[in-house]
Amino acid sequence: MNEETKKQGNKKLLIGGIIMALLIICFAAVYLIFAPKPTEGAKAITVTVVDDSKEETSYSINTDAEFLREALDGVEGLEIIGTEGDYGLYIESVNGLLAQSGSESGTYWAIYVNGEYGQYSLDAQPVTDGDNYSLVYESY
Amino acid sequence: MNENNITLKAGLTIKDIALIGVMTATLEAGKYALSFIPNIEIVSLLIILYTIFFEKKVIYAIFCFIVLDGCIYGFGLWWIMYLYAWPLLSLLTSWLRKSGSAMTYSILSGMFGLCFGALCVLPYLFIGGIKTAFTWWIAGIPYDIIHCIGNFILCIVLFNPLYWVLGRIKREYYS
Repeated sequence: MNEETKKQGNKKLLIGGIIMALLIICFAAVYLIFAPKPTEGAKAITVTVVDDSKEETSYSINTDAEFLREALDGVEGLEIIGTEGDYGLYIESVNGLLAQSGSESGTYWAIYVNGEYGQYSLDAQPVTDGDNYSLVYESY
Repeated sequence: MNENNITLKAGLTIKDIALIGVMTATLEAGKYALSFIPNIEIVSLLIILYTIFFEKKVIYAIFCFIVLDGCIYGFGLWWIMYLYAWPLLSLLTSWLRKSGSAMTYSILSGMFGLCFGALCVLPYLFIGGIKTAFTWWIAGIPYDIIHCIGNFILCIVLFNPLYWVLGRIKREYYS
């Protein structure tokens, strides 16, 4: 009789252990399915670099950045070098192509927003979802 | 007449009050001692053991512990969860008391740890609705799993030694 009771007790423990293990698996599965997934960034923008031979290179970027400089920071294959000025970064070179400034003529990197000449530097240009930004090598 | 046997209005003797004080102190000290490890706690095991040995008197200790916790850490939303979560563990232990073994209580402790987040979700259900409560529960599942494993291991390792110690203390000082 005691042996029988012991066996029944062991059986209950085994069932309890199995239920606990199954619950852990279920909880883990629920977490994997419903847990918030990290997003690359809420805003999707396109940045196009137009070099001296009018060749275009485009970058699709997902970002949460408020301003363009932060959005472009760390983008693979895009290297922007400049000097810090009163209005933010003055772009000197993009992907190794250096702007040649002179007193009467020269070249510079212009910023376009949705095809229109930009009014702000990279630091002050707000980033809006769906916008197209261009960095264009231009002469003056 | 032995002063220790004087029964107070609430049906408690002076010995009972001293016991409740010791139980509360060890619950609080146990919580504090392991507070540097997230979701590893000995409070569940102590409540299980105290319920086995001291039955209904543990309820006083649990509520003293909850009030003390509120005084130390602040009476936040988590505090409301404590009001029903710890007494529930004691209630479940009472239910298993006759057929319990170290493994039974380890499974109970593990399940309690695993469901702790789900239990604690009730206040969020009333404040923010089902979506808020569900999101809150989901976010805490990894910690609940750690809580479950931690509770199970602590209980399976420490139950028998502590059971022996408490049995001896009860025989010598509280019978």
